[in-house]
Amino acid sequence: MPAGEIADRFREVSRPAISQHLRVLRDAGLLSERRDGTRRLYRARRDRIQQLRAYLDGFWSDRLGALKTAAEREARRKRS
Amino acid sequence: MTEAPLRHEVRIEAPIEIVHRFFTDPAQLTEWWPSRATIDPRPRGRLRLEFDKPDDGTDVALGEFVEVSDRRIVFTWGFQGDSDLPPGASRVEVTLEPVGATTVVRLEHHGLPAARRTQHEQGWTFVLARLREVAPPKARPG
Repeated sequence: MPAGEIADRFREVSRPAISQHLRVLRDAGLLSERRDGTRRLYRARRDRIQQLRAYLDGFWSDRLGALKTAAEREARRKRS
Repeated sequence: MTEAPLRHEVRIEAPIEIVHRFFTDPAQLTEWWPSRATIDPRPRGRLRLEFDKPDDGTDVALGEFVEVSDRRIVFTWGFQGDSDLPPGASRVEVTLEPVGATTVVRLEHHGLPAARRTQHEQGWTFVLARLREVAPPKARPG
């Protein structure tokens, strides 16, 4: 799917923001990218489980960071 | 057929008793993890975690505790209505290790199903939903 066609589905989001987020998704392994002349074509990785794993990986990393913040705040509160 | 577990580790500047309660006390659990929690942290006890999504709607994770001890908390994990990861499909193992006055938390997520092919369009539905989550709305004129 060409980048322009993807952007057309998100009329409330600017083109540069779409390009930036497509790069993020590509780097996260959710999309593959191919050049066709000046166009960039994107393909969704069919392997949904890989996407699920990538999602859960980010989820745990994010949540454990929040756990650290909350538990350290609680430890400081108990000490004081 | 399963793949290698996901592994995460974090070192927390807090004693193990405090960290443990953040897993077993529903009020403290919701400080860092789900939006709402109903848990019965003992072997065969149920857990129900609700995650409010950024746009709207709620994901519901269901599971059952397998092991709950001072240094180890294990439970099954899956999402209600999710054919890729239904309740009971996977297992989360949390190990707490005291190191001086700090605690090292190791989390392993086991039993995620092996990769399988699915429809092209489903992949796009997933990716586009993710994009919608991360993309900031453009400033509205006027």
